[in-house]
Amino acid sequence: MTPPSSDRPSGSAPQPPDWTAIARHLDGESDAAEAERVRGWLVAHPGDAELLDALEARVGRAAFAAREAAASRTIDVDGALARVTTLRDKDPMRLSTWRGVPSIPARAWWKHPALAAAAVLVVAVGLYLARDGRVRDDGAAPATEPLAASYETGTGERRTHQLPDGSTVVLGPRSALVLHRFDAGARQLELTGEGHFVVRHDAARPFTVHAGGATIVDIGTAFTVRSGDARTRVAVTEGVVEMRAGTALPGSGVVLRRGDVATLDASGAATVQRAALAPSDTAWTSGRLVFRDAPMSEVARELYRWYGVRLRIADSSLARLHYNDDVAGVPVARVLDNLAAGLGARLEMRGDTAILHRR
Amino acid sequence: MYDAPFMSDAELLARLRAGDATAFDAVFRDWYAPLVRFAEGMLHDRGAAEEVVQDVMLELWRRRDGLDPTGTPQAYLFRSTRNRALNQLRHRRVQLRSEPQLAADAPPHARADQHVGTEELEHAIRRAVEDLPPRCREVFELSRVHGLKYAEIAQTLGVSVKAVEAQMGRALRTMRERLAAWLPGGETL
Repeated sequence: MTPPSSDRPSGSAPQPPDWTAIARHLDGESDAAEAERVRGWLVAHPGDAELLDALEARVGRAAFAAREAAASRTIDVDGALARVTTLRDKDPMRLSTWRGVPSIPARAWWKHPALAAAAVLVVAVGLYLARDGRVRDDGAAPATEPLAASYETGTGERRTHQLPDGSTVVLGPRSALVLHRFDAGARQLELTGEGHFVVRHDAARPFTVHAGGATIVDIGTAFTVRSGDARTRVAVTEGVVEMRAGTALPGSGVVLRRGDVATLDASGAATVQRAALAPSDTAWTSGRLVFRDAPMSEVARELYRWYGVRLRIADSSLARLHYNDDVAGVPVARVLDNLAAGLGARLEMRGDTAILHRR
Repeated sequence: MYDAPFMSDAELLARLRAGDATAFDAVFRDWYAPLVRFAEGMLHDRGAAEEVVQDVMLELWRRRDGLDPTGTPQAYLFRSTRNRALNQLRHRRVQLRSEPQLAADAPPHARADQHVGTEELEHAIRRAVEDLPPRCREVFELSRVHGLKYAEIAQTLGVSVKAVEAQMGRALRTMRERLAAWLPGGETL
């Protein structure tokens, strides 16, 4: 490189910047020696460096990535993948003579497998309730909210619902709650995702939540449940619940009291932490996204639920790190910047996938 | 629920070559939208662009055994997408040579609530990119818009890395000149 300057020592003719070297440097394509020379030149020419910073802010990769991410939100990646997967698995050696139908540019909630299952149940349970009219045994549902047999939330959405018995649930992002049975004899619900329940206790008809592989039975309480991966986590904010594996007999589970936090893994084994309830367990109900010593799998899952962003860790050393953050109402770009800075990583955006590289 | 794969591009490629469907899914999720935007810039038709990219993805799976183990999936994907889009353009007899446009034309309502100054700047950036010479613009977009490395751009376009570097330098200098009014301090660089 001939770095470039408009203010070389007197006696030497001003030379234009070496744009090829500058471009290589900005794009991370310079070798160490060239990068050092360019950095040195920029330090010696702060005015030029400021101009380059301003230019990069407008036409750098990060600037375009933000624009592309916005434009890519109208592309239904999940739907396209489903179509291609069907063709791929049907005839893996098929030559590309297929001409598909352009995808519908929408990320409909019912395309999510778990929620699609819930949609089927909505219809079935809705018909059942309409026919029998047995749901509201202790008062009418709120006038502002029509009686429904299921509830769901989209990406980044939280909703509070009053159930037919007066109990309430706050659903976290990308979550679904289905009322399998809700009558004078029983209250059976299925949760996918995250929910915080404040239950109107009724010993004659236990309030039972099925989530992941766990069953949680209210014994007069308020509690938070998070499911969706191999584990189900329950945090009790008031009263008492029983938590057991879905296949276990009633009464055979662990009893959790106010302040207890328990996790049930895929094998059905429960881990109980007494008096371990932390503000972060319920922070999401007020719109705060909190990570406390969170593994990257949890960070990835929550970013998807809250922002629809897929996280990929392109380095095994980064994948082993844990992360702390506490944000509310901030754009995803800020959350991702925090994450990259906190991990000492470089962030790359590809559509709605955020990739973290080691620096 | 989304399960994050923790894989580098090299790991992804190795697993894809071995027939791992989850690696294919990860590649698809990473690159489908950028490729559609790339193809859309050439074809000016979202449906046709999606069709091209879905074909390319199927072909990636079919040809996975023959992928260059030292390359990256994206180099293959962009090259294939470009070739198929060019074929489609030729087939349409619209033009013999591609003149990809900056694939950043959001619907008008997307910017309706933004300040006029921001709109003007966005317009100036689009115009500045569109006014680059065709090959220069193609290289610039593959680097800045789609995030490809110079070697991947060279593979995509069938040119040398040196040629890519030269086009990027040219693009950067031209962008600097075209956007001077939006930069602090004026014309001293």
